[in-house]
Amino acid sequence: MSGEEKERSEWKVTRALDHPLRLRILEIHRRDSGRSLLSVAKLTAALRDTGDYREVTAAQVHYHRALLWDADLLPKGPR
Amino acid sequence: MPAEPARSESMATGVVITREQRDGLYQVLLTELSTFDDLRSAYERKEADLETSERLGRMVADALRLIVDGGVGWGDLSSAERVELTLPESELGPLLDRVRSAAVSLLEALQPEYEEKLELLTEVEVARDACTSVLDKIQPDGTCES
Repeated sequence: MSGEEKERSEWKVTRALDHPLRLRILEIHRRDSGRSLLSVAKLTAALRDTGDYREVTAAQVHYHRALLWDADLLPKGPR
Repeated sequence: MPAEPARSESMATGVVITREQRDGLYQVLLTELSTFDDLRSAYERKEADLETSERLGRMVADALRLIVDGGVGWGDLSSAERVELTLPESELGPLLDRVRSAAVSLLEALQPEYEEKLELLTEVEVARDACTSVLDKIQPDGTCES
């Protein structure tokens, strides 16, 4: 991996972790054994069960999950 | 099936949508506004991520234009039966065309995951249909249909 690619990869991870909703998605993923491929439907339902994200929409979850995928912080599931 | 948008009687170039259509649009626009934290991260980076800044900046700017100046408005408008979109058609067309594209992409991406829970995507479907209905009323050059 070139220096530029490494920097780009690190930036993707930094950006992905710089948001409370994405951190919560990672937490849900780990709680769910960390192996399953979480669908937007499952993540949205899990987030709505929390006190902080009762109003979250599938569209928002889709956007944030894509950034976690882009940073290789979540296993890629159904698109 | 959402109602067809009607011509405003009070404003020759205005287009009126139902509150349901407005609420669908509003939810999609709020999702686009939620990218602002990522926009800030991109432009505050030591070497700004220009590609991300341009993409998210356009998305946020368009969403704010429709909400603040375009008649979509902020928050709950449950007391209104209809909402008038107040931008000139020449500007409204490209904005809604982009929002419709975003809604279509979202639906295409999410529908396979929502086989049993498609009602959760109703807002996005309504937003897509609202954009289509309004755009049908606007000629490509921004003039009104006769």
